[in-house]
Amino acid sequence: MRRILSPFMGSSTRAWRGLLLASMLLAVAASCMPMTITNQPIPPTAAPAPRPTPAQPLTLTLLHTNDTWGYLRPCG
Amino acid sequence: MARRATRIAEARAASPNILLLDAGDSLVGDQDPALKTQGRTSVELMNRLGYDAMALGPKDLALGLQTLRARMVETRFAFLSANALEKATGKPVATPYIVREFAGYRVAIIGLSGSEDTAKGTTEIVVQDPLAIIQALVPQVAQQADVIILLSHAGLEVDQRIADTVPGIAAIVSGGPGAQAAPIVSAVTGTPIYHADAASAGHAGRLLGAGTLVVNPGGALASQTWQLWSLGPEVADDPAVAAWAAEQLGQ
Repeated sequence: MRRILSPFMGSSTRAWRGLLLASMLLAVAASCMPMTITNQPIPPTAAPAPRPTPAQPLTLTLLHTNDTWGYLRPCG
Repeated sequence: MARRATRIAEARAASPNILLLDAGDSLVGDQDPALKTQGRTSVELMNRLGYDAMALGPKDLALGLQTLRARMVETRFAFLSANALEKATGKPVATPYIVREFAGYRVAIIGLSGSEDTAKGTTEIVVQDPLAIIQALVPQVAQQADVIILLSHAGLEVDQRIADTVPGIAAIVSGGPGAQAAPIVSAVTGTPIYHADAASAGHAGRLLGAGTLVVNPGGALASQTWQLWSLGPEVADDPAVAAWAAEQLGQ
């Protein structure tokens, strides 16, 4: 008669051992998954997002003086 | 300068994209209170008017490092020079350039000092060749800005050489001798040179230049116009600035 290994049926010690083994196998398999991922090409470090190009032209006014010599008067 | 304040306020009311610049030699000249205060009243005036940046000219550099540092603490705008260095350390005397943003455009303003006469006033500062410095600096600044403005007291001849040989400058605002009634526009690059005024004893700061640049989304200069505003009696005084000036002159 075949014995069914189950934590819920039959020898509880053997069943729990089986469950533990299965868990370990699952953990090992899970630990291999990142290796699989890293075998794929690694994307480059994300570059800064490009600045959006302004849609409209810029109108910029340059008000300017020079050589005012710190005059307060006579002075415009 | 009370009239200048009025004109500046009018321009600001008409457009949101304004830079207020000075091309140098504006801290001291031959009169008090600027002389007596070693430029402190000049800085206070420029703070009141809301200047963005000023290039350091030879008269400014001649104040010496200690005084310039004292003035820098007082400014709410930038002293600029890409080529004035402390002789002892080789460090820049002032910030080489600043970047401001207008409507999504990054606008850099580079300052340039003249190489002549500076040594007469101070032995602490050395001024490097402006053309060589700007040729090296503009490509670097272009990585960080869409528009480059040069604020120069290097002299009109040097400014013309820069305009002809250094692409990527939208406009040069010039100081020193050689004021022009109209912009000089480089036939090579299309860069305009604006030079508003030339000072002489008893005559300084009576003109205000207004250059309007239209820049395409790619950063290229599409068009430019320029006006020279005389600040005669037809322009009303700004009352607050006039009162402040009267107070300073009464000291």
